[in-house]
Amino acid sequence: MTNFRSWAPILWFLALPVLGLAPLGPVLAQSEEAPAAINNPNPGADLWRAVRGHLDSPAVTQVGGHDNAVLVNQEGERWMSIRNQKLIPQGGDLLIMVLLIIGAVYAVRGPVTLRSGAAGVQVQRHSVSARVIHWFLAGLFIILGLTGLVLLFGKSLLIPLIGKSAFGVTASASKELHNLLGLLFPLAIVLIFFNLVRNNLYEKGDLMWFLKGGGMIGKTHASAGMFNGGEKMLFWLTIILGIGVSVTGYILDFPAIASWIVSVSPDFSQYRHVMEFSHVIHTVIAILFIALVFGHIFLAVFFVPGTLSSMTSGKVDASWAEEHHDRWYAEIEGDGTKES
Amino acid sequence: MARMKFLCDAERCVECNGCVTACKNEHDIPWGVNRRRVVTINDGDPGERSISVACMHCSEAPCATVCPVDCFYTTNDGVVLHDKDICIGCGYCFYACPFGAPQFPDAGAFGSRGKMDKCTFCAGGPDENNSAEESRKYGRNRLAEGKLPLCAEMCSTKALLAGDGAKVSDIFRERIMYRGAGAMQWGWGVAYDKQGIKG
Repeated sequence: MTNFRSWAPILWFLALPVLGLAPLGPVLAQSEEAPAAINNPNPGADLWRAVRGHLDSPAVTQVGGHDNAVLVNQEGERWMSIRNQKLIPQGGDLLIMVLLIIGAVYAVRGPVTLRSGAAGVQVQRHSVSARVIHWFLAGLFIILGLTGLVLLFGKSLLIPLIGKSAFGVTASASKELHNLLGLLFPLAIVLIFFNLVRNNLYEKGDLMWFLKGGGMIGKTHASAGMFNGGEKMLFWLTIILGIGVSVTGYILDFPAIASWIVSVSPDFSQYRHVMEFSHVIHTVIAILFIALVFGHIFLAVFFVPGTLSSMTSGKVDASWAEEHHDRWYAEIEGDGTKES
Repeated sequence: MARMKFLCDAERCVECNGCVTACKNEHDIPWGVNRRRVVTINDGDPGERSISVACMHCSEAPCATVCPVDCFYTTNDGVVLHDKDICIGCGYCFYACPFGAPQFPDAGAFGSRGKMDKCTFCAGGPDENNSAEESRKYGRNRLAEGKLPLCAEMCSTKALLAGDGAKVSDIFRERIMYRGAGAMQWGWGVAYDKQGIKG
């Protein structure tokens, strides 16, 4: 038996020409006398292919409005399965997983307290304008995030709890709030960009901050300026995700934009397809954005005590500044902007 | 129990738009909303065909599966209806619908989508049959009066058939016995999960 196995490849190799060419025999014989192609199209079949949108037959209708000459919307089923079978279950799983990871990190590493204790001296960290813009963005984000989650997960989570009628009112309010306040979101993104960009450019030391896991790896604190590597990542992800969610959101809010996109990009063929596409991208970005903000809130409020006051009173404890943002602390100490 | 279905015989439809007009008039439908429309393929060319299309009242309707507020329901007659008190006008049903049936009137100061409106198979909505409330929101409830949808009743060539799926099938089968089958009638495979022949 073992003997045969070792020979098998060679036997196969020898048999190959015979086996491989065998099917070609009839083909070679037929090519001489191939019958003429049957030229008897079924007009019914062509019509129904056109109905399903597979032929470029011109279709017209007396009824005005978008896409009304389309008989069967081919993309609808794909959008439906992406939303129902991907976005809702997997988006929900992702958010729950992020919360579990956050919980695990908190359980294992606990809150990061100051090593030298509070200094009792407060230093100014964020100006009034930075705080106003931050809370403008944060307030919009919380409202848009919650209303968006209601629309995505409410059918499976809230209807069993509060019933269809009460949920209908909730969802209606959510939709109106989401559609109207969403218009302001790009403004908040633009404001926060110009307000914070100069402190969020890459500096020497940011990479080292990441290598040290933000201080989680090794004994020493990771060195940081006004913003550490992680905060800079948060800033740039906020800008990128914010632009993505705003662009797709504006398309969903204004179908006229979708019509314009169809006119310049006929690949979409129907404005409905632009809306379906935008909806999927909008939801994916929004879920990633919410996951990111879960991390941000966790770090700023729970994991590193003393951080939140920088966004409320604008001041932080001097020890906090020295331990978490040593280079920034050295800077403000040097130019005397520190106040007691 | 009867399973209500529409069937548009593309060999008979002459694009008179009588069904569209009958529907708009019967249900007092506002401007910009058309529960039914007639689409013509190869207009003016040999092989021109017209098809009247509205909500096909699908089994396992896609609109119902994507509705974020679960406002759709199927009646005992197999008619897919929705509750306008719950509908929020999000437009998802329009994205998912194969037939482009859901329609949205402009509502509110910024022209945002109002509550969805679509063909009810002349069966009204969840409110009390033929109450003022029901006619205001959904139009006439002809089914409750023992009548069939007006679009099909008024069809001048009897291209558009509406009623019990088995009876509609019988009528159509009789027709194709005389004139030959051609292909399966449009939309049934999509709407009724290939149950067209059985009815």
